[in-house]
Amino acid sequence: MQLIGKTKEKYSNEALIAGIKQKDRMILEYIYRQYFPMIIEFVGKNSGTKEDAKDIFHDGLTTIYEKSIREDISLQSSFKTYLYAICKNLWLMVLRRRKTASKIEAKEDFMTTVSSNIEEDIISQQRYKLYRHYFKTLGEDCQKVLTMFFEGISLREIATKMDFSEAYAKKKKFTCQKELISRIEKDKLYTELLVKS
Amino acid sequence: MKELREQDIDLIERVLSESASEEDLTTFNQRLADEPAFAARVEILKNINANVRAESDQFEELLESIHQDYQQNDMNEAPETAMGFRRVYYIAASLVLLLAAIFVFRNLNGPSSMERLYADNFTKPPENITTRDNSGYDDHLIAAVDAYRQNDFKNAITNFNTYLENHPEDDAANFYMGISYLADNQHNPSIKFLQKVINNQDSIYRSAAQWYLGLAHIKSGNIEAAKTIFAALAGSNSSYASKSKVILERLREE
Repeated sequence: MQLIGKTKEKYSNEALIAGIKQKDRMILEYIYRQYFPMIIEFVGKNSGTKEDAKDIFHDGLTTIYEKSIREDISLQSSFKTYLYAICKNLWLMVLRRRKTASKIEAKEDFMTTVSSNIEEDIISQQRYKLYRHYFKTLGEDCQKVLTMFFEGISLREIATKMDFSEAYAKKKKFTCQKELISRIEKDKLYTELLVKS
Repeated sequence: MKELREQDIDLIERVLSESASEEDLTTFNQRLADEPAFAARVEILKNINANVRAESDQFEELLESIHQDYQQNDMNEAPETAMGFRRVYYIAASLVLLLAAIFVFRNLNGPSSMERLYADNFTKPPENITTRDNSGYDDHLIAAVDAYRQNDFKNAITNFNTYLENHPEDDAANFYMGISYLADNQHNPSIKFLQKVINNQDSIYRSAAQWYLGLAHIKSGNIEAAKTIFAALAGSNSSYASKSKVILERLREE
């Protein structure tokens, strides 16, 4: 773990990003102690509750986590600035949905050197969150069939494991995919994210 | 929007698994360019695979667990700054505590200590609910969970209510109905639904329901009932045991 001596942050950007990617509890606890109060303050000043701040903070960290899985993250700003910018954008999206985004009080100096891909990353995170949410609303058999299918298990094996015929397994897989996509498409947030992307 | 057909999914999967023929690729690219809905579905199918796997869920569960710790105790400190500032922090923390004590003393007409205790401990549990009826799907349950997720508790209550008319024994729905009422400051109906979950000895929501029932009793002013609940939880081996001990001590100090 890379520590920084007498600078303001205890860990380097790289160490914090690596800690998030590796789901390192110690680093995440540090991030929580260090930056959650800043998000509580920001959300609190902008019509939100502590619970909202928690949701935004978690979504912000999940955005970074998912991005770190997809690609190497190289920050041109401090980690604090990056996290703050993501959380601010996430909260703006929520306020727009609640139709109260008339005025947002943010530390604009934080926003100067942050990557322009932030909105794209947030949209991906929000979409993936929707996918997971609706996946969990499927029936148990659907979840099992799709999970096995995504793991690369053949329809023949799925049929054996589920005590289905192979033809029924294929039909079931399609019905489940169709239902999942239909539920996602019916969500207003999905339409909103589609327009933004 | 066009209805999704099995051959659409087959085509998309052939392309994504790189087993598509030339003809497939031509059709696919043409539709990708002409049909935004098709393109959007390709995007879903492309990404859903990796994203319904447990990785992000595990990450979110870890954050949830850290949040619980953060709320409860020692992590709830001032952020760490550069080495050498630690002492300044302790002095500042002492001053803050002193000021807080003065503030509490001078604000006897503010929120009661029980209201604060409730507010310090109530966090909405994340929705973790699946449909389990034979058809696999229930629109009211989906709408209820969706509303709950968006903190629209009145709408969640309405939809859970309709769902529970046909599934009165669904303990997940009873649990989240109880939480929705509590979050909507309606402690009496909340107590009713949470108690129903607790009555089911096999419910996986039982410990959580006990914790929130204790909070509902605090909210309703029935401190003795809250003490009984938290004492039972504190003596159990549930994940709520340690924080129940803390809240129980606070209740006994009153």
